[in-house]
Amino acid sequence: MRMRIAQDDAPHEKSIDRFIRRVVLLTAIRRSLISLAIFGFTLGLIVLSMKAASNREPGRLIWLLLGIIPCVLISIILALRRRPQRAAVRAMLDLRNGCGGLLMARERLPLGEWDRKLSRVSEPRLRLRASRPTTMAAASVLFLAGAFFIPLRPLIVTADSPLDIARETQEIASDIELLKKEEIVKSDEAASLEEKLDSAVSEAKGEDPVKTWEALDHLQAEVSKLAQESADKMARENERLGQAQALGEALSSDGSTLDSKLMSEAMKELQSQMQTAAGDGESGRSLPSELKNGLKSGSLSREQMKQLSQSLKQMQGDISKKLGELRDARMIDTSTLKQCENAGKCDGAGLAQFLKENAGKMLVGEMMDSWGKGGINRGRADAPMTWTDPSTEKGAKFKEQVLPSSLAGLKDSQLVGRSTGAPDRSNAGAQQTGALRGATAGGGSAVTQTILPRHRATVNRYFERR
Amino acid sequence: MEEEREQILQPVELKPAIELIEKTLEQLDRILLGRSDLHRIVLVAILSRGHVLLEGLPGVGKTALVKALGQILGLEFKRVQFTPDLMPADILGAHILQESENGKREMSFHPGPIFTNLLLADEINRASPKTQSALLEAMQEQAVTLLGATRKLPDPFFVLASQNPIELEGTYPLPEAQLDRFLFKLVVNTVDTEVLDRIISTRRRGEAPRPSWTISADALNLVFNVMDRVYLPSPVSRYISRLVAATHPTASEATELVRQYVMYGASPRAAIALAEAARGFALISGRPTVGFEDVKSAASAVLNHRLILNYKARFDQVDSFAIIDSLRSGMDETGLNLPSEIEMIK
Repeated sequence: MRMRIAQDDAPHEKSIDRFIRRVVLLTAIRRSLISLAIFGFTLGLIVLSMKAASNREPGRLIWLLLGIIPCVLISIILALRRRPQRAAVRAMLDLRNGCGGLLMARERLPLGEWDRKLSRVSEPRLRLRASRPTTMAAASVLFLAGAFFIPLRPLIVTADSPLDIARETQEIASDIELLKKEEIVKSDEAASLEEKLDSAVSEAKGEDPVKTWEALDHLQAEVSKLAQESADKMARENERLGQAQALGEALSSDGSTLDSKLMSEAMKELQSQMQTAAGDGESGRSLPSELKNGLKSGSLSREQMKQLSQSLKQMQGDISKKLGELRDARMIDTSTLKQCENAGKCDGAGLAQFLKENAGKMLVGEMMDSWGKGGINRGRADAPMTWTDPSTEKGAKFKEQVLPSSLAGLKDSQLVGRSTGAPDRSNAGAQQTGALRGATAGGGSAVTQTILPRHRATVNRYFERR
Repeated sequence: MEEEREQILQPVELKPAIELIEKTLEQLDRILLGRSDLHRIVLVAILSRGHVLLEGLPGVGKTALVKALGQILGLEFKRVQFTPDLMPADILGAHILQESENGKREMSFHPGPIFTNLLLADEINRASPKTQSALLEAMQEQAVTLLGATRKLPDPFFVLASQNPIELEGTYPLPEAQLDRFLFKLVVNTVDTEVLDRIISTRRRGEAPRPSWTISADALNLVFNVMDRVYLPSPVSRYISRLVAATHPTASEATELVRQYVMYGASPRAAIALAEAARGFALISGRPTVGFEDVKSAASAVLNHRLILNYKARFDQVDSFAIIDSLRSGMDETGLNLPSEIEMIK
């Protein structure tokens, strides 16, 4: 029969109890540290996730910290369940104290006088090596604290991330302002553009910059298009004004040499030019009423003609100023500006001479249209095309000739082999990248073309015939 | 058995046995110089009622030790010189046809030298396996069966055999079954210069002195009775079991050396022998209980001849003592199994 003889009040029994308690305590501490580390990291992740998901400070999650209590309790329970067996502890103390089995025997048998020898039993000291769990637990606590107290804003990067479009917005706004100032667009159109710009600015988000950039690009293109269209109109008006000015100068300088009929037609043509130019209306200036009436009646004096010429110059100057401002605002380029200015240049003396030469041959309007076009040869690019009779083979002589055979070129060749497969398509020397990929300096991209043996005769025939 | 007793051996009960043991050891140390450790362990074997195989070079005192032991213990002592032509009947005895006084012829048993208390089997490995096997039953069951009749051997019965580790030509190594029946296999080494000087100075022609004291039969029985009452605590018996089990290469607690070099581990008989030997060590140390240190002290002598090593061990020159040392040092005796993060400081 196994019966426990040991008495709990004996010193060595207390040593056994004390040792077991220390082991349980240290084990519980270690397990608690581990569970704290796991709990801290897990809860920290949960808190961060909830903060990021709900955009709210998770103050109400603070009660989850109470979860550490069951973790510690579980650690203690596990440590108690895994506590060392009393018999093993007794054996260890027996061995360490050199009891020679007496302490172990005391569990089953009374020792009698041997009991006195066991009074000096002492338990060994214990040391817990828990630097790693301690570090992990400390790190988890810091992580958890950070998760609770870190500001919400850095977590929500995508929601309020600004998009810096101030410079682009300012540029477009100044362009619209310029268009409005120069009366290129009407106030309601300008207001519409500004409204679009404001909308693009208000909807600008860092999470979707492409949308904003596309809107701004579209708006910029729209403004540029308006500016370009206005520049085209001004170029046409400048051209009309130039023609009108040249006509005016011609009439004022050589009016005495022109007959009255031609003079009257020229006045009407001048009026027509002025009306056409006024239709474009980009200069923003109109002729004085007496000049308008004179043009209408065809009775402008020489002084009035000079006055008209001056007015037209001023109108051209206004257009040039507008174009200059558009160029300064980089809404049109310098070449466009120069093209517009050149459109307004006209040789008044030349025109007078041309009118005088062609008087009676065509109307003044036709002369104005054809003046400056054509010449000794077929004229410049905008000269009207002239068509003649098609060429004929009549009278031509042809010499009949027998074409050589397609195999004639191969008579000196030597057959070294024949293959039914495609020839080697090595691109030695050809460009490997970029737009000229596959092309060589001397041969172009044809080097990449594969000529199969069955094509060779056809190719030879083609070149031999030439 | 121990659970039924009410009290452990008390110092008063232990003291007479300890004194007898000390006197015996004193006599042995006086007769054979410089062999104290060997005397202690041989006496442990006697107390454990086990047989001892002494292995050593000629002239190191094996036979002298056994003779002196027989004289001190007051036991009947016989010596058999094992030779290749020795037959089992030469040891066990034989039935001889004899004519009685009334003229009737009958077979009568003539006991061999094995019918003694202390048998010295000198150079046991020179006899044939057949003759060696004649000792199997005698050593294990302390009885001899001839022609269907089993005869008990005298009590106590000990076999102290010797063998020479050199001159192996013409010898028959003991089979494992035979080896297993020896409680200890002890390697008897030569003595140092100082001891040799004392032997030369005090012993003419090498004759050992006669013992000045011998133990009586009653005293010997007293020692055996006390030995029977030495208590083996369960953690220690558990340690013995684990230690013996760990000698097998497939055991969970086997060390790397065991896994690498041991072909067959120790038998359950080894565990029994180890427990008995540990009791003997505890008694010699004057304690009524067996401690872990007693098991460790007995382990080498008990296990060294019971481990069958593989050829790799022979190639790497690893002997069974190294393997037993690895077991003793690599195993936690108490089985406390503290968590690895908790360290015990002295």
